[in-house]
Amino acid sequence: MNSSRSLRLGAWLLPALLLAFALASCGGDSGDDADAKKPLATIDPATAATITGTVTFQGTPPAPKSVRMEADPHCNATPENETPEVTQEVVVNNGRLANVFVYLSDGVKGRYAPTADSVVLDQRGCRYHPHVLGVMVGQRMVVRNSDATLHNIHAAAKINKEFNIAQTQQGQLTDQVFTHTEVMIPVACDVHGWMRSFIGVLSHPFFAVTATDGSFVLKGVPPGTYTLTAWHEKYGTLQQKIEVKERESTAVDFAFKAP
Amino acid sequence: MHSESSPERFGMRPIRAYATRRRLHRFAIFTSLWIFALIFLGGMVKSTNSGLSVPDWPNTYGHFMFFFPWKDMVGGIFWEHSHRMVASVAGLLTFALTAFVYLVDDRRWVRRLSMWASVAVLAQGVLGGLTVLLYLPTWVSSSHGTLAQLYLCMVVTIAVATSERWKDDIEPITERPGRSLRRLALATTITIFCQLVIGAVMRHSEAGLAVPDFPTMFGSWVPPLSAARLESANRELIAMDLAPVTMWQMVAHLMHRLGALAVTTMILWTSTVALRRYRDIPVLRRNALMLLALLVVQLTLGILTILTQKQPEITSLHVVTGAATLVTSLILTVRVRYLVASGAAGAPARRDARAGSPRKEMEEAMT
Repeated sequence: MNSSRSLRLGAWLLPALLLAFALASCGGDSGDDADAKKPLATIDPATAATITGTVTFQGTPPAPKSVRMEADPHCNATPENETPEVTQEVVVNNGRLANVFVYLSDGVKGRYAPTADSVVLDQRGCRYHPHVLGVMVGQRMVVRNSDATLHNIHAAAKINKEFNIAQTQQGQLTDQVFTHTEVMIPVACDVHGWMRSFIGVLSHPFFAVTATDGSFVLKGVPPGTYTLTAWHEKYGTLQQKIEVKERESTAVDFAFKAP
Repeated sequence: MHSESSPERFGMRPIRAYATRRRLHRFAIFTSLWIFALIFLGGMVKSTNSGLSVPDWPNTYGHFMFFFPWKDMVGGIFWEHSHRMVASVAGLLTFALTAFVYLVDDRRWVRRLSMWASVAVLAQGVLGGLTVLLYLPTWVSSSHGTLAQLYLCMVVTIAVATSERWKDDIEPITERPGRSLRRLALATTITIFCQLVIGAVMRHSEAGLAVPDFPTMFGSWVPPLSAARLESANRELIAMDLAPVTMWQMVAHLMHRLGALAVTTMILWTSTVALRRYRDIPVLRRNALMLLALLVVQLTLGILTILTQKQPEITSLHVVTGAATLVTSLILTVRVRYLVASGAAGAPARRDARAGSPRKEMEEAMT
């Protein structure tokens, strides 16, 4: 092959490769519509039950890591950050594990209309509040910037549409709606590398995030047999088969172990 | 026939050729150094996970890039936006270099190379933008990292081709008996390039700490390539507060370690041949010694990258030193291929017949 032919080939090959990359990477929203096809269900207050429990942690939890916020003077100067900073990955209080997403992963019949109330993911003191949250498919999630600095909000969804948006102004609000079930979607601010959050998206309202005392409550659960799953960002998932009876409260505890 | 110091033999126009060529050479060196800085910043962007800290492209938070307020250069934005700014200047420098080459250098291959450098820097910009807009897909980011090395190689080759040394060192040396240094140097450059590609894929698929110890692999000399070993390895990674990995990530990481072994072997082999058989040629001797020194630095940085759990500055220096090793090997390859004739001196090579080829120019100069 002579050199001019090589050049011509190269001149076509480079843009073609770039285009191929672009097309290959434009997967977009590839979630299936299985949820959408399910019949609409409603909670019957006459039979609805409750699932309660506690998530504990066995073993020695990792020492809290400090977060260095010098990279942004605003974050460093925020009053609530004057205390020693710790990451929000593993929060254990008296053996109870916080920030565990507990949800019915199997056994729920039908899909539920999204709750009218919106959930808020707040950026305050260069941290996400809450660190873990649940939202229903179609429910409005408001992302708020309470800081006097800019943030980007990058949700690395695999089934829903991935997004990376900018919030430059204090008080700025941005609405987001997820269209498919996905547990969990990691959210990060790449400006402030320590900011991480996780969102669980479900087609029903039977989920909760454990409080600082490790407790959780799932209300309005129809009677039936379910798989209850507890998810933690560092320690993975635990599951239990449970049977929920009419108007009763079922107690279920989970115990994560240090590796 | 031109005299030894005549500029015509380098394809330069006679008028102001010597001084102009020196300026061109210096400008090419400056552009090369600028690209090194750019590669370091690119390394910092990846090491600090700042690649998506500026969600839009080519604008920055809605501002025209050069008007983005300095006060907002915080956190990851500092690295990502600095990378974009320095890259823009690199683009301008490369376009200027191409224009400079076309103005003062008549050698067709140098002109073509400079044109390809401009195409490469444009493609780099597009790949950089694509990787931001597509949320850092591994293959786009890896291509961005790989093309950066090729782009640097092009500019460095222009710097070499316009140097005074290019003139002074053209002596008709017949390749000396033994393993061909021409082939060895080329094979070393290709090996280093392949290693950089593997490194880029490993880095952008988050496999840099798939094995967090060195020289052993999770305390063993046997690579963790079975499902059971991988599961056990992942438990250790989680306990160390590191992300668990897939088999693909593990393989990518191990390939980079294997690549380091291959590069070490090739550099030692090439340098030994150069130092033993071409010791009397200072430029080759210096080149070989530089390659050895860079190998030591690069291996040290690679080990430190693992032991410090990818401390950003060390990791980025590892990336930059990899680029320096590649271009040093490339310079050796280029010099050897045009200083040392293959086989008998004057034996016609297939491409010698092509007008404007470096070999033809050299032979003309030697006449």
